[in-house]
Amino acid sequence: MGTYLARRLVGLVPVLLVISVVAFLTTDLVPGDAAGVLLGQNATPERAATVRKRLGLDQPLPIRYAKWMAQVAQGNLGRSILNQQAVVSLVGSALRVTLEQLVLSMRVAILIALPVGVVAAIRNGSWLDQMLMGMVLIGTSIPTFWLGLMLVYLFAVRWHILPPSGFTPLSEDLGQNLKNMILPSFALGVYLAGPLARFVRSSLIETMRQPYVVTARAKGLREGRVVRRHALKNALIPTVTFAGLQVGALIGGAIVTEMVFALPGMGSLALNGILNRDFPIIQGVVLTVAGGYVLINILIDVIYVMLDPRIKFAEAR
Amino acid sequence: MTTRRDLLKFATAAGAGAGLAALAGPRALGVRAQETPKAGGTLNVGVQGEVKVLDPNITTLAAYHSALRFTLFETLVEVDETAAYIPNLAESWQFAEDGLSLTVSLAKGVKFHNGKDFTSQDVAFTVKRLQDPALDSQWKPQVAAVTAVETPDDATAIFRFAAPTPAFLENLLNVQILTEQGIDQIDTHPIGTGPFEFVEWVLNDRITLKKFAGYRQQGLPYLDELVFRPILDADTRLTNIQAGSVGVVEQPSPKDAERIQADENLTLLVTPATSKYDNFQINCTNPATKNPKVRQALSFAVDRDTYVNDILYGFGKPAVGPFSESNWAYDAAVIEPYLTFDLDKAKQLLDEAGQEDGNRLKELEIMTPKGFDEIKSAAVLLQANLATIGVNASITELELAGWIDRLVTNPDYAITTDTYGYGDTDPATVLSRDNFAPDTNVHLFRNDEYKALVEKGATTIDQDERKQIYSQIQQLMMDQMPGFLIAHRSDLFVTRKTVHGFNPGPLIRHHYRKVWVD
Repeated sequence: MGTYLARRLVGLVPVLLVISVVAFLTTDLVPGDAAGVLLGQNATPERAATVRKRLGLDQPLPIRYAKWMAQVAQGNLGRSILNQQAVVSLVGSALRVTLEQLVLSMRVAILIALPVGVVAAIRNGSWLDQMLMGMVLIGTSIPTFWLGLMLVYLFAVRWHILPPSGFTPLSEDLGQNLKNMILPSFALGVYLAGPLARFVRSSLIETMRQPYVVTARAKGLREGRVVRRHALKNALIPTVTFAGLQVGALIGGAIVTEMVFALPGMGSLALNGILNRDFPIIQGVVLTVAGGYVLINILIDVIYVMLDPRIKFAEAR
Repeated sequence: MTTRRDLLKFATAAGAGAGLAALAGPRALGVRAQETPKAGGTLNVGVQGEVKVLDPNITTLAAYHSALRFTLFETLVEVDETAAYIPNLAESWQFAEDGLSLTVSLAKGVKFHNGKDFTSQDVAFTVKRLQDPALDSQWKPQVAAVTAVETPDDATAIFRFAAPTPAFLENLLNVQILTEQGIDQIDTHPIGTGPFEFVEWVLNDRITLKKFAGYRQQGLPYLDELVFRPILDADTRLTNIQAGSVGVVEQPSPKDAERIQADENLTLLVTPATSKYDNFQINCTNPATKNPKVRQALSFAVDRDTYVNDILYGFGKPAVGPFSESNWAYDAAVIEPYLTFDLDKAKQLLDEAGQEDGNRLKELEIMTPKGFDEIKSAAVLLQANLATIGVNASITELELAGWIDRLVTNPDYAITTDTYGYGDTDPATVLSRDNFAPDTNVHLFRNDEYKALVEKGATTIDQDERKQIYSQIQQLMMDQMPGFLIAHRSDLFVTRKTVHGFNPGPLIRHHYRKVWVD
C-alpha cells in the first residue's frame, strides 16, 4: 500500500504541472488584465502600459511563467498582483473555510441521502418510495442561492437564531464557528443530497438482486440484517466513488453559498482572482483544488480497500 | 408607511431646486431624535465591493471610497452639509489676487498613525507623489495645475499654479495626505492622520480599523472598532442588516426601498441626485457611431423618465449633459430640448445621417458591464426603442476586466452603458474626469474647440464669464453628443436605528468619525 500511495503522489506532480500551464495560458487568453481592472475607466492605453510595467505584467508570458514557477519551486505561490498579499496565506485561510464547508455539507448530504436512499430502495415502487423520490427531486431542483436566502431569511432575519453571514475561525470560537457554518453547509448539503440519495437507492436496488442477497434471505436472516450486513456495504462502493467525484461539483456550489453567506472561502478567492485577472491567485487556487481533487480520489481508493476486502493495491512491477 | 409615490416626491425634491439648497446632505426618511453620543463599540459595515489595493493614490474604486478614503486619511479641506468648504487639516487658506497661488495654514498638533507630526513637508510629499509619472496616479488631475509646493515653515504650504485654478479647493477634496515615513509599506499597512488606523485586511472577508488614540480631535472618533465587510450581493446585504449583523449597508437595490422603510429597525438614507450618474459612452471613432447625428439619435431614443421612475424607482433625475440641474453651470435653455424622448426625431436623424454617409444605422452592439443591474436595464430599454425605428441592437454583457479592455485599453466598442461619479460639483472638476477630459476621454472625442473651452473654463476666475463658457461647452456637447447621461442618481444607504451620526453628505464622503452606536 505504501508503494502504491507513493506512486500516486509522484504522479501528482506532472498532473499539477500541466494544469498550471493550462491555467496560466487560459488566464492570459481572456481579454483584459489586472492593470485595466485597477485603472477602471481611467485605463487609457498609455496608462495601462505604465501600470502593467509597475505590476510586472509587461514581460512576455514564458518569462512570467518561469518567474512564477521559480517561486513555486521554493514552496511559495507568489504574491497577489493587486494587493501584494502572499498567495500561500490567502489560499491557506480560504481553504480552511472551504474544507470545513465541504466536510460539513458532505455530512449533511450523507445524513439525508443514506436513510432516504435505503428506505426508498427497500420500499422500491411503493408510495413511500415515490414520495421520497419526489422530495429528492424538489431538493435537487431548488437553486442553492435561493435556498440560502430563504434559510437566512428564516433563521437569521425572522427568528434570530443564527447569524446571516460571516466566518469565525474554528480556532477562535468553536461555537460561533459552527453557528456561522450551519446554514451554508445545509444549503450546500441539500444540493448534493438529491443525487446522492438517488445513487444510494439505485445502487442498493441493484445489490438486492444479487444472488448472495437471495442466499442471505434463504438462510433465514431478518430483512434488516440482510440490508445492513450484506447489501448496503456493497452498494456503498460505487456510492463512495460518486460522492468523491461530487467534491468537484461541491466546490462549484461553494462559490454560490460563499456569495450568499459572504464566506471568505476558495470560491470567493477564485472568483475575485478571475474577475481581477490576478493570475498568482488563480494559479494558487487552481493548483490547490486540482491537487485536492487528486488526493481525494486517492483517499477513495483507500476507502475501497476498507469496504471491500477483495480489492488490493497492486505492487509496483 | 411611506408610499412609493412619496418616495418619488422626496427624491425629486432632493434632486431639484437651485444652488446649495439642493445640496443639503442625504436625508433620513424618518425622524430621529437627537441624543448624546456614546463612545465605544464596534460597527460592522456591509460594502458592495472588495478594495483592490490599500494605496489611496492609485485607486478610484468605489469600494475604496466607502471603506478607507475618509477613515484612514484626511484631506486639507472638507465640506459641510451644504457642500461649503470647511477647515480640516488646513486651518485656513487664501488665494492670491491673481489666482496664481494658494496659501494654506495647517492645523497644529496633528499626528500620523505612526506618531510622526503632520507638517507642510507631508503636503509637498503627497503632491509630488501624485505627480510622479512612475506611479501614474489616477488622481493626478487633482494636482495637474500645481507647478510647485513651497513650505516656508512647518505650518504653511503654498501651492503655485501656472494659471488661475478656481476649482482647486474641490481638487483638494480628493488629495489624501500621506507621509514619506513608511510609504514603502503603503500596500500592506497604510498610514494617515485619519480618525481610524489600519489593523488588518482579510481578503474577501473584512477590513478592520481601530480608533486612532492620537486623533487630533479630542473624544473622536466615538467607535472603538470599524469593520468593513464586502457583501457583493444586494439581497445578502439587505438580509444582513435586517438580521443586525451589520449596522450600515450601502447600495441596497432601489426596488427594496419600500421594504426597508417598512422595517421599524432600519432607516433609509438618500443622497441628492447631483454628482453620480448613469450614462451611455459612445465611441466617436467607430464607423457606426462617428456621425454626431447618429449619436444624437441614440440619445433621443433613450426613455429617461421610464428609466428614472421604473428602474431607479424615482431615486434619480433625468439628465443628458454633464451637469445636474442644481449646478450653477447648468444651462436649461441648452439642455432641456435634448432631454425629451422622441423616437420620430431619432428616426429622422438616423435617416439624415444615412443620406450623408450612404449607410443608415441598422445594427448596433450595446455593451454593458456585468453586475450593474440598473444600467443593464437601460441597455434593454434602448434596445427595445431602437427596434421600433429600424435598428436591430444586440446587448453584450461583459465582466469588468473584459469590458474595460474593449472600452479603453483596446477600444473597439460602439456604445456602452456606464455608471460614474466622484462627488464632483465644480464644472471644471466634472470635465476633468475621463468621461469628459479633452485629451483622454473614453469617447475618443478629440475636438480643439472643446479642449480650448474646457481649459478656459478651468482657468477663469470671473464667475459670470465661467458660466458663459460652460453654456458654450454644453451647446457643443449637445451638437456633438460624444456620449450622454441618462440620469443623475441618488446613493442609497441603510442604517440600523441603533447607528447614529452616519451622514455621507452631499458629496458622498464616507466619514465615520462622528458615528456612534447604542
